[in-house]
Amino acid sequence: MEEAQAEYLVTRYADLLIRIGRTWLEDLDDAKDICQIVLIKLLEHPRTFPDKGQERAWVIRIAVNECKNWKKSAWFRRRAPLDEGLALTAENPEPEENGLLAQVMALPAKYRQVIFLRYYEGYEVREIAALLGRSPALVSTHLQRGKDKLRIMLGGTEYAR
Amino acid sequence: MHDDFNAYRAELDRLRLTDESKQALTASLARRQSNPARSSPRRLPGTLRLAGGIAAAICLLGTVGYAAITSAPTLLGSVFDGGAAYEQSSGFIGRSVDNNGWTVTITDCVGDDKNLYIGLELAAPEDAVLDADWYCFGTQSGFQITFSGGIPGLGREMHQLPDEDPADNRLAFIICTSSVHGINEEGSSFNGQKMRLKLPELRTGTWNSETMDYDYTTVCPGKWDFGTMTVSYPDSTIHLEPDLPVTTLGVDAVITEVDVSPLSVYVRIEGDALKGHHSWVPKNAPDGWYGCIEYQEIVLHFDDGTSFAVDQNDSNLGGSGCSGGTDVSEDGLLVLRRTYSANINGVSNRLIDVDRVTSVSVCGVDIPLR
Repeated sequence: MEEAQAEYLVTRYADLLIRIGRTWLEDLDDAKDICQIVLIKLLEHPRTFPDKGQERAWVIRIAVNECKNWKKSAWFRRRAPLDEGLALTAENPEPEENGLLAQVMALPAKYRQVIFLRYYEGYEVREIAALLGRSPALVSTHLQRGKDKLRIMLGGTEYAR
Repeated sequence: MHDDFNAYRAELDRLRLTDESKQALTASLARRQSNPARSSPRRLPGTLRLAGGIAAAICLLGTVGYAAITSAPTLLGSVFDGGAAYEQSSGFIGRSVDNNGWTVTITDCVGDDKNLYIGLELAAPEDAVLDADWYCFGTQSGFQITFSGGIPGLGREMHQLPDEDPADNRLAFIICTSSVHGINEEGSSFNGQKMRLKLPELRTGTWNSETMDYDYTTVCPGKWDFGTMTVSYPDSTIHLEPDLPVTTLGVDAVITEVDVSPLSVYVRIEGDALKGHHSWVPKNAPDGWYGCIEYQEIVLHFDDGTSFAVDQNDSNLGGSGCSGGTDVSEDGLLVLRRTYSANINGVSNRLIDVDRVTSVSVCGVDIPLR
C-alpha cells in the first residue's frame, strides 16, 4: 500500500516538483531536496480532491510554500530530507544558448515564477494569484514586465518602464 | 506571445528525474511511510532550537576555529521588544570567536531586503574591568563586513548598546547595515547572502578638545574573524505595486511600489510632472537641501483602529532620494525609505507586526495591504 501511494506521487509529481524547485530556487540540488520534502508531506498528509486538477494545484501550492520556507532558512539546506545515501539524479540538459529557458531563468524571481505558472502550467492570472497569495493585478503586472524584459533580452524593442 | 513559450515548455520538459532516481525515491518514501519514526532526525538539534520557533538560522561554512553556541539574542530586549514583529524578521546566529580570552558572539540578526541589524555580545575575562564610558572595535565603521552577492552602496555602523549591568563583564553592540544603492538600481537583498565579518582590536577613547578627536586606548589587541556565514531570516515584507495616482510636491504622480516590512517602509513615486522638481521645491529639509523626500505623509493603519505615522526625521538609515530634479531629461522619481523610529544611539528600535497592518496611506492615498 505504502509503495503504491509513493509510486503514484513520484510518477505524477516528482518532475513537476523538480521544475518548480529549479524555477523558484535556481539551484538543482535545492530543487531535489524540495522534491523530497514535498513528497514526504503529500505522503504523510494525504487529501482527497474531486479531480486531478485541484490535486495538482494543491501540490503546486505546497511546493511554492516550501520554496519560500527554504529561502527563509538556509540552515535547512544542509539537511537531507530522506535517506542520507539517497542521491537523486536529474536529466538536466544544458539550456540552449540564448534559448528561452535560459532567458526566463535569468529574469528576477517574481517574473519567472509567474511565467512558469502561466506558460508552463497554463494557469490563468486569477488562479496564479490564488496559488501565490498575491493580487491578480500584481500577478498581471509581473507577467507583463517579465515579458517586456524577455523581449529586450531576445533583441526586441527596448523595455519602457 | 503565448505560442512563443513552446520552446520554453519543451526545454523545461527535458528537466526530469532519471527512472533510477524515481525508483529509489519511491522505495525511500515507502520505507519512511512504513516507519514514521524516521522523521525525527530531521528536526533541529536542541542547542539550535529557538524557543519562539523562529525558523531562521545561519548556515555555517567551515566551522573549524569557530564555536556555535546558544546565546541570548542581543537585539531582543535590548533593542527590540519580543513578539510577532521580532519573529517575522529575526534570525538566530550563535557563532563565537575567542581572542585572548575575550569572546565575541554574533547572537542574532533582524532584517528585511534593504536593512540588516546584527547583534553582538562581548564576554571579557573574569579579571577584566569594563568601566569606560564606551567601547568600539577599531572605529565606529572600522570593522570589515562584506556580502558575497554585493550590496550596492553598503552603509554600515556599529554602536554600543546600553550596558544593563556594568559589573557582569559583558558588553553588547549592534551593527547596522543598509543598502543605499542608487534609486534606479535594483538592489540585492541581504537575506540569503554569505556574510564575512572581521572585527579589529577593542578600544575605548576620551575626547581631546585640542585635537578635536578621540585619543584611543587599546583594551584588547588582535582581531575576531568570524569567517563566512549565510544570513537568513524570515521574509515578511508585503510588496505592492499599486499604480495609484497621488499628489506630491504640488504635482500629480503615481505610487508605483510600496514595501512594508517589520523594519521599514519603502515607497516609489513616479511621474513626468516630477521632472525638474528642484526648480520649485524649497530648500527646507533639515539638512538645508531640497525638501522633496522628507515631508510626504506615510501612515500605517492597524487592525485595532490605531495608526502610526512613519516620519523621515525618526529614521536612522539612508536610502531615500530623488532623480535629481534639475535635469528635465531625468526620470521624475521619488524614493522614500523610512525606518520606524530611532532612539537608542541613533538605532531604530521599533519593529512593526506586519500581520496587523491593514493599510498604508501615502500623501493621503489609502493603499489596502490585504
